[in-house]
Amino acid sequence: MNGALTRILAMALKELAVVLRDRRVLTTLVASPVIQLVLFGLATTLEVKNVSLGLVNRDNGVASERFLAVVAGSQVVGKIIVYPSERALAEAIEQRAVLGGLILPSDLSARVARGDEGKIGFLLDGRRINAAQIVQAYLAEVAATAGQSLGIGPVEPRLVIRNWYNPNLDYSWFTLPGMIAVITTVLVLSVSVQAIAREREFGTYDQLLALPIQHWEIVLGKIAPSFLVGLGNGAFYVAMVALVSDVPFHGSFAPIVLAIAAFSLAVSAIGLAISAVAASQQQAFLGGFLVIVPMILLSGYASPIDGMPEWLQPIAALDPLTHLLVVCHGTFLKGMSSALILGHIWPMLLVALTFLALAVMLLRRRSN
Amino acid sequence: MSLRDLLLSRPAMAIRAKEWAQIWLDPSTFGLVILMPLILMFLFGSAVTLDVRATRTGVIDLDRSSASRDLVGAISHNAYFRVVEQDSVAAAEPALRSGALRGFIVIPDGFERHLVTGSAPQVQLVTDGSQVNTATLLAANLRGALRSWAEARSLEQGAREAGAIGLIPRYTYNPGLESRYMLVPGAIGIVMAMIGSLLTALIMAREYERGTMEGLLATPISIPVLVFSKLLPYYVLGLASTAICVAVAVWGYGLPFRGSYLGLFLISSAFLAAVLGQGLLISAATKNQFVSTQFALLSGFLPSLLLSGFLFEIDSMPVAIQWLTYIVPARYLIPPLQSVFLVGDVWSMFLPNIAALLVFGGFFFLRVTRAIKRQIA
Repeated sequence: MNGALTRILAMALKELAVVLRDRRVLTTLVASPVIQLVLFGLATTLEVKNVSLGLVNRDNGVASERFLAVVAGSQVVGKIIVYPSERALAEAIEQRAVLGGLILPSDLSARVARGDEGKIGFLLDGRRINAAQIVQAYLAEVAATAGQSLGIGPVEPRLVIRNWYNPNLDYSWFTLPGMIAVITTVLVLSVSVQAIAREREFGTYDQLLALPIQHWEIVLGKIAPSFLVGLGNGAFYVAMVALVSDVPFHGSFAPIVLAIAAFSLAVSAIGLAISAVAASQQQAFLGGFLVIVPMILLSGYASPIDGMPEWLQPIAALDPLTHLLVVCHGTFLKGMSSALILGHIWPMLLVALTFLALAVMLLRRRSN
Repeated sequence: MSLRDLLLSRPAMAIRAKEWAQIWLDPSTFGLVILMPLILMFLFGSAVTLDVRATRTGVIDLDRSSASRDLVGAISHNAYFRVVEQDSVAAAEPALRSGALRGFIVIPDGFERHLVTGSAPQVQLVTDGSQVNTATLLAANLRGALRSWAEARSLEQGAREAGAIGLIPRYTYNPGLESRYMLVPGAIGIVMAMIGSLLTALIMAREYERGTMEGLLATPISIPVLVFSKLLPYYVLGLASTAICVAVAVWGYGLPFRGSYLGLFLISSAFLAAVLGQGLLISAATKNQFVSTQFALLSGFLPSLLLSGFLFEIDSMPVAIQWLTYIVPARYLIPPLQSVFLVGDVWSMFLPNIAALLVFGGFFFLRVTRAIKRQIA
């Protein structure tokens, strides 16, 4: 066993030297993730604010005045552009100059004053359905409140909302901890997929086979650089986001680093399995890409898992990234307990073991 | 240099033949060109959805009156919620922390008493703020549910007319409110960005890494012809991928295709020119496959996904980032692409976008030829 350990260590050191030797690679490993974290962490917001709307106003009464005052003062709506006709409005929507347009009929205030329901038309761009629906829900609320302030309408329960863990629903509190997980995935997978494919491309893999070293020892040694890159970078981002950004850090450092370690191991194992079948670096990179994209999209980062079809949700639960995301959000915002975090670590370890075994099996089969 | 030189001269044809042979011999290229569109179309068509349905919501009814039971019933029957009744806030709290619940509703004691006396009773909603989007939609949906419950109740009790000002929304191009209609055309853009920048990011770096680049440069081929001939096969592959995507979008997911194939072809060609040029420049500048793919990811794939306005509204981003989106080619692709499916040929919008993309393409092409020339000198 001691011999095996020495061999794995030697293999790991050699692998690390290969990755760390190239200055450009090193710069890429450090600079690119930091840029991604900052840039995309700030940009990715599903929050909708500052949208341009069109307006065709045929009513000059108190109802439209009350309604428009609230609309103009809100954060959701930015510019309001007045159009002479519904046709001009429809054209502006087609050109994407505005997200939608409000059409206030000439009898709006008169109807409201009589006690009838006033109807405001709202034409929206169906191409931008997400933003359109959010703006529509918001304006429906504004319309109802404006109506109530004019003293009509049924008694309605008053909704008092409290958002735990993120009182102001600051979107960067969601994206920044999430970005840690996403970037670590990309980094670990890109490093691990080339481990064996690179040797094949340069023809040095045969030499490796000539050494007195077992397949599983190769795999464990090969996993070292990507595992360490993932662990080091992941821990660094956690510290960076906790210290530099205004996202609170309610949990403790040790459990989240443990989770990042388990995650790096799992993703390295997946990368190594790809590398074991790839004949060249190109194949390895492209194979890695075929895995990264579904991993990110199924993880719940881009869209909630709750909204996915029922049969797809168990598959999303196999994605190590899903678990790391829960741990990241849980640790930063919710102060998640270590016991709960452990519940997310073992599925990642299970993925790691499965793919490590697969990688060993694939290597053994290819060399026979 | 004439078009004849670029397309039909012997060196041009030789390089193209060599590139095709390399593509042909490596199944991974086809994997990317055929599998990637299928995987992405499936994910964006079936998995990614921004609609929030059946949100796991706890309900704590502290009033236990007929009015509060009626409200709980109304919320339970609403498709937006999957209601789990809880006894107390203390019981709901751990569920919210572990993520088993996305929020819980508290109907306080005295709810019915308030309602009867005509003063507005309170309903509390506690959301899991760590899931910002779900929390926002949960609140909006509950507000809607409370309003329709109150309206139905006042009509039952003989009130004359519901809500004083109503908003009547009409969604052009997408009356069924399918988020798929927005996501699938966007996914096509992602596929093109990926094929374009990732494949080409590898091709030059590979030649440098394997030491075959010097051999190529030693041949009497002119640099522009070399660059152009290396790109052409990948342009064809990019178009093939786009065609697969469009077929899946229209036949698989039932998207309308209201524009013309000519419009689609011109937009895709202009976009491919830009991203292929970008990938090739990265490739020629880095000369290392690993660094090159990392750059392609950083400057090609991720900005196309995150900064193109396809998932995340550009208007809502910080101003500095909004400016940055102007140098992301996908920003000029997504609006015409969504329109060619849902609206039709809007040439007044297509042409400026196509022009912008061609400027990108021309710029990258010039930079690549320069980057390679410098090395010989």
